Amino acid sequence: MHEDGASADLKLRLYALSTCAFCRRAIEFLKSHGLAFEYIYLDKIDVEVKRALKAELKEQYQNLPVFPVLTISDKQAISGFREGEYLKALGLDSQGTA
Amino acid sequence: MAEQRSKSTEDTTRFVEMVAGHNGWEVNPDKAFVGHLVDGLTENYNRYGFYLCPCRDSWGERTKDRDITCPCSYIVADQQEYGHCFCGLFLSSEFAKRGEAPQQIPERRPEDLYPH
Repeated sequence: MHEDGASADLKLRLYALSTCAFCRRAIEFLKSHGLAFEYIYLDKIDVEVKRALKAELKEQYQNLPVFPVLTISDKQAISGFREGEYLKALGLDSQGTA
Repeated sequence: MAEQRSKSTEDTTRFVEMVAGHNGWEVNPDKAFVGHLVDGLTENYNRYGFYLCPCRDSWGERTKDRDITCPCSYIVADQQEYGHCFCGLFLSSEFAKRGEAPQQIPERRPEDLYPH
């Protein structure tokens, strides 16, 4: 799924679980900052596709996936939602918007 | 074999309150946050037939996911170290008294228990 917003210079993709409250928080955070992003609920897709996606994430970023996982321009992944970490990684900690 | 009855969010809310009361834990006072977790637990119960932790993606099989069936096997250690469970649903009474909001914490479940 896709959410429109600003910050076209960052390619944001969120891997989330539809049942997880921290995943919901991450989605609300990105929306509230007007950022464009894609998100995918891993618990709502085919199991084999999900396993392949998780394996790709693990291979590319070498971290245990704690959901949500936010990938930034295919270069960086943040596992888990902590607002301060998102603010810093997205360049929002000083100016308020990306 | 009798068909398994599905759970409603009211059923799950009663389950959460019962678990908290039985163990001397507090339920997170953030109603919206807890409401989402209750919805997630209910959905998982109706998908898999047991209360699989809504914050973890695993097998969806009761025997393989016994340790992350709510309340999970890691909750006491997580409450001792962070004050709340992995999902931020159940708080220790000390953490609840401080009035802090749960933050996402590291995963304590060994990686080899997840599907590969």
